Amino acid sequence: MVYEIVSTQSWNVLGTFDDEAVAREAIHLSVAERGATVADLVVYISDETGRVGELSDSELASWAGVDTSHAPALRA
Amino acid sequence: MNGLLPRQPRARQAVAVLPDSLRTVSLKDSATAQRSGSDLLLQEIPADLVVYRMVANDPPTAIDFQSHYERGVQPRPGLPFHAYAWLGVSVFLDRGRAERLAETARRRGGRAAVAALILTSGTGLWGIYTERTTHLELFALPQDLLDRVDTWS
Repeated sequence: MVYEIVSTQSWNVLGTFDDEAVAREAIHLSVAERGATVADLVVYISDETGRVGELSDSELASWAGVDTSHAPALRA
Repeated sequence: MNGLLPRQPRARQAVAVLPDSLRTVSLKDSATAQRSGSDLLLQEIPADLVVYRMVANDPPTAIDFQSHYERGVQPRPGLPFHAYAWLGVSVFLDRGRAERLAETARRRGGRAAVAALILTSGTGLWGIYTERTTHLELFALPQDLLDRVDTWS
């Protein structure tokens, strides 16, 4: 899986990672230390076949540590 | 590098050309690259390319091509790649990637289109890319990128 984090303020890619733990850390730091909100970020996930999904807001909140009740999943 | 589309270069003002030995800088020793498995390359645009970027304005304006630096966002401390991302503007070799961003923007209530930019090699334009993705981080002033817009829709 490849995780691509994009700013919805500038529509620039903030980071691309193939390690979920690193992607989670980057999102957590963006929210916890950089003052970003879930609405400021979008995360695209692509698998080996090229299929691309997007984290939902609740999933993103979970990754950011705002809400831990949802598990991330690849959505079409 | 996947997706390179050869183009007939447009006439542009000539600029100084760096020696070949200075044209490519591998960033694979950076901490981010090691952790992400990416092989990042900082390179002068090696060929004439068509790239795509999501834009919010119709027609596109220089604001659509601002880096976080240009927007006044404070840089993140730490890893070297953070500085590059802070200074760069994201474009894609694959139009579908920009279309996906536009879909996300519209779903969130924003306006969005996709602009096609023509990048001409040998004009002093540098970027960072990895072999594994179609994302390209460009280093240029917003107006310079706006001047390279060919079409938008």
